[in-house]
Amino acid sequence: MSAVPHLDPESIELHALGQGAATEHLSNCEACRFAVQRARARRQMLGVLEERPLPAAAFARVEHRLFDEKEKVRPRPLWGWAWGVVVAAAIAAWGFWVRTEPARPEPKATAVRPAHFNARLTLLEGEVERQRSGVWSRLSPNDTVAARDRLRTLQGRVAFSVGPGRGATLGPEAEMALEALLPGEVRLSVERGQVSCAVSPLSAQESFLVRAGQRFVRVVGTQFAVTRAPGEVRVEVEHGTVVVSDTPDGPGVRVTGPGRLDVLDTGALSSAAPAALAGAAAQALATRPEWMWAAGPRTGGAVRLDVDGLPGGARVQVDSAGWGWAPVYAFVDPGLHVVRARVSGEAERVSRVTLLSGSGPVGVDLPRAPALLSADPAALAAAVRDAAGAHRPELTYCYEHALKQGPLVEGRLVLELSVNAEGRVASCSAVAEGGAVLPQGLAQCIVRSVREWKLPAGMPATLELPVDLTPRR
Amino acid sequence: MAEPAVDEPTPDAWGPLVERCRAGEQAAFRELYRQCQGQVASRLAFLVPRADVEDVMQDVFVEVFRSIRRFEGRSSFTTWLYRLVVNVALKSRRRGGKVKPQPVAEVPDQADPAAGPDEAAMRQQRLARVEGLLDTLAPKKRAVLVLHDLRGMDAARIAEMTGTNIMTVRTRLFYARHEFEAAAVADPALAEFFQEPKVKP
Repeated sequence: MSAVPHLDPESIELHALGQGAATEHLSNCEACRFAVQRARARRQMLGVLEERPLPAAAFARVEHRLFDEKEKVRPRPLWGWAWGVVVAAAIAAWGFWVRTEPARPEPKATAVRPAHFNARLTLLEGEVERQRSGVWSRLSPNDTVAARDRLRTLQGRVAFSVGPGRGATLGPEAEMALEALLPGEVRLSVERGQVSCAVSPLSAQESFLVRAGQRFVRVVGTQFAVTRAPGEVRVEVEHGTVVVSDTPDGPGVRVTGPGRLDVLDTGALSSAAPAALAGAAAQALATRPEWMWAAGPRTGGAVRLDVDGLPGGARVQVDSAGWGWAPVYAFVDPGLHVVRARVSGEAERVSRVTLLSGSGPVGVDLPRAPALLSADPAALAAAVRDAAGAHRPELTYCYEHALKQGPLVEGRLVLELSVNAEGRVASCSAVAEGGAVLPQGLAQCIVRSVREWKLPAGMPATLELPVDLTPRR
Repeated sequence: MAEPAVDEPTPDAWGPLVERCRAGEQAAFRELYRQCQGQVASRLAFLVPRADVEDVMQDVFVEVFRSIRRFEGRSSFTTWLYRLVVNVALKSRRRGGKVKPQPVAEVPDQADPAAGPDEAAMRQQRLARVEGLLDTLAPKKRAVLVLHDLRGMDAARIAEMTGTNIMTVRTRLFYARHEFEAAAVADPALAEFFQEPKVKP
């Protein structure tokens, strides 16, 4: 008997169909596909059952009862009439009892402890490990993160979501513990390194707490980062407000974004005063890619983007979310995404991927860029110097224009450029080194200039060119 | 799971011992018990709740000793014994009430093959949950599901063992699967088995 006409009722296999025809039929017949999936799931579940042999003592007990007890065990009589009499007597007694006994109160339902939920990974990048039940193991993109887990990153980052618009990103070389993931209550603990949290506004019944040693950071609804270094804790608030205190719910110091509070791990909190951030520092805080991963995908139909299979040491960037270490498994919204990879000794690999809602994990194909010809490093350096010298007026113009906007433009800009075999600059990007904050227009102006450079043909290369920006004294 | 191994399936091997039992020799009964106890316990597994296996095994042997005089050797002794095991298990379960699954207070995390001791704990919990689901089924449906889907027995053989017809077995199998799946889907600890598989393109 089966609800699906094409299926064998016993085996739940398509009968009278060959392998190819069966596959084709399954792709078209939803009822059969559903039934076959259910059957496979059921088989898997029954496969969990393992026979556990009875202990030898149980066999001995039965043997004793069967053969050694004075009154031998007899099979229970199966006389129908006897059972009928017993049942009738029981019903009569029950009826009498119901009439004479006062109604008893219903037993109180046993309170069920609220269940911890699992956090969902939104980013897994480089080497990340999870400790569960005292055992550290490498985290894989299919894993979830549960309460009482610990996470540590080596060269990598991991981000997880604990609800819509709420989550955390653990930065490189950091460690944290997930103390509680309960509905309405999230408690994290930073052991070392930086945890960046994004928390959509909380209701009065909800709490989001981050502990860093002796300090507690209580959230109202904000984006903030907690960094724990030996002996001190830094709390940076991008927007919103957090309360830093010595107890989970006690009074403390309010830090409002954009702002920062540096406190020692121990000692009185009352002497600590938050500092407001403005200008470039606030902008740098606001543009950290960690917020994006902590907040998680904006839509419910996030798709996993897998960037793996790259050589060791490769760096990967998904959209503008910062460069990280391969492999990267990122949960992103459907749509167009640009993935870049930098492998030592190769030109930058770029791939554009359009993700459809509801699709499974999508592996990004990042074909190796054309092999580079061996260029003489000295000749290449000389050629770059010449090109930079030839375009020095343009670079100077860019910098002086930026100085007019703000006198404190200083730092090092690292240009990453790829030169093709014709000597043209195929791509160029600029990154401020050491967290220096530079006007957005300055980098764009310099990159525009560099793209016009012409180097000698036959020396294709990918190189980094540091540019020191220092005003004339 | 494969059908449990049978110690000595050939009728000849059991013949002399069975004959001694038929003759009422007390020592032969004890010897028969010692030779068959593991086989009976193994075949009772999952047909009755684990906590009842010991008692039901005792009932099986009482029934064996009562009925062995009627064993005429038309089938092998092990086949006859298996049939008896199934029928005693059905009667035994019928006496008990329907078992309700206990609520899960805390949903465990998904299994991680690399997790070691954690995985072992998870497996134990799943095992307990699946056994709990079997306990919620009516005895006849449970028996058909276990014999067919777990032991790999076909419907015709089950019909022969339980004294019903093949259509009855198939009907019971259909409803047993349906109830088992519905209960599993509703159980947070087991629902992951029924999630859509993710395919990496």
